[in-house]
Amino acid sequence: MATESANGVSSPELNERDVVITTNDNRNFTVKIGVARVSKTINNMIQDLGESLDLSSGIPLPNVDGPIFEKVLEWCEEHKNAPEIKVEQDPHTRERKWFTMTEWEEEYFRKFLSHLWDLAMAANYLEIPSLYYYTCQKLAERIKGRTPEQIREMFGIEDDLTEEEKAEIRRTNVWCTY
Amino acid sequence: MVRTRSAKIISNNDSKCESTQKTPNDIPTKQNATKSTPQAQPIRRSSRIHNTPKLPNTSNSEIQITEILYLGTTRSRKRALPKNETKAKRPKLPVQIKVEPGSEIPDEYKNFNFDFFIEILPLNTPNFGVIFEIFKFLTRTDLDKCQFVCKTWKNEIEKDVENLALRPIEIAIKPGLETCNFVAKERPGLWLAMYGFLNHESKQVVELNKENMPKVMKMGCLVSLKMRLTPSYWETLRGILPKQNGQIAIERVQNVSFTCSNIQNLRSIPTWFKKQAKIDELSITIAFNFYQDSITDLNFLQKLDYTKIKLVINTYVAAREEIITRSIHDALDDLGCEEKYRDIEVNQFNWKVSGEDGFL
Repeated sequence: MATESANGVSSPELNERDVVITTNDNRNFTVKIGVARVSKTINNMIQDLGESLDLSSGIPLPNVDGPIFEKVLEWCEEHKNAPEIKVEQDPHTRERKWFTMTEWEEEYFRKFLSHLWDLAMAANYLEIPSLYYYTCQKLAERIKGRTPEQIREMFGIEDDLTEEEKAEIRRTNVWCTY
Repeated sequence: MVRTRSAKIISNNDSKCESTQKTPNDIPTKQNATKSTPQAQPIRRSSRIHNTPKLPNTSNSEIQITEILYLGTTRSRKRALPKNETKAKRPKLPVQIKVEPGSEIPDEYKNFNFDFFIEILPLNTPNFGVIFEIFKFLTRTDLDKCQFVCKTWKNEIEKDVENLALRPIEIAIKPGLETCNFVAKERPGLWLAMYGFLNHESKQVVELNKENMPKVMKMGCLVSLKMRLTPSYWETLRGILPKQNGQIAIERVQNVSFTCSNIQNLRSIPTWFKKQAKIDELSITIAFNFYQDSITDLNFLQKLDYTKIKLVINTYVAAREEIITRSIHDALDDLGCEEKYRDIEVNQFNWKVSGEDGFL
């Protein structure tokens, strides 16, 4: 992926060139094309524009703000040559198999713990599978083993279920112990 | 941050302590402040410093607490005193605290998981795609909890139940000479549903089953199985349940799998199946804790007159596959079972997973 040029031809030189990316708060980021291409969204933009790509005018990212994009870039920089992640699930329980993270990745999520939602949404929009799935896993890790009250408190979610609705869940789902 | 939190806690304790120690004159009201001379104030304050109880074997954390306690009282007096006087008269505190991180933490807090207090991750704009992706990492038990979080989460889980984790359910058939008990439980939970059934010849128990069956259905046990397990599991269950209960019809199935918690109990099942389903080929899946001693229990195979037996051993015990296979072959040799009829497959799993046609 990183070795393809803007028009699909292999070109390592192109990856070394800079491109300006503008976030929704009008911040400009000068990024190496090879790094930016970790995002499939940006990669598609570069490929679609082909030869007409004006590297200095910038690629607009209307759905991502500067501070989050900065964090995303940190990830892209580290994963620019990383292979595609393999998403697997248990064939019997249909549970997604958890990824094993590197030290760097663990540290990354520790550092940006309070931005996990934003990172997940940015990764979703930018189509960065590794960041997307890893962030979702981290969020799942926070949910695991917690009570509904603790989850609500953590995510700032309002309890809009009535007692009748809760009783209905319990009635229809006897396996549920809440 | 910890220090601030401690200060809050201590200020509460402080007020409690003071309420037992203070006389009305000690309370720094406006009146007292005007009455008291600027000279008298530092003396009283310093006396309080010295009166602060010295704990002979105090830990560092306790020393810290004492310090905050003093600072708290000083601040309250500061308001009562004229500004220029306060600054001039305030004595310097001889505070010498050496805090060695972790060295003096009480044992009961040493292993405490403070991680729980750390993060608040406000979910500003819910993105259902992201939420669904998170749900995919969770077990069915976790999803149960998530259903109680809010309406959105509940609806998402209900909507996508087909794509989310299945509930690991262990089903055990415990047949006796005449009776069979069907037991479903969620691992590692309690036994949730249990009913017994007999074969069609025993009316008494069939009637009992008629009562039990709706109860089980009402409990949602079978409904859960139907909804949340894959069709193959349901087919298997349909094959196992007797026709007479009127709820579920037995269909002729070519391969029937069942799991048994005790291999001894398998003996009556094949005969019963032959009568009921008239199957020519029987595939037996045995899921049990495999011990070498259990091999002798394979005696029941000798009584079977099926053309071919496929024996699938699903073992949850970490034993070497070749040992298990060899043991089974030895046992079948002893039984005189011809080798051409043998089709043995040994699967070793962890506690969660079973064979392709087996049960979870």
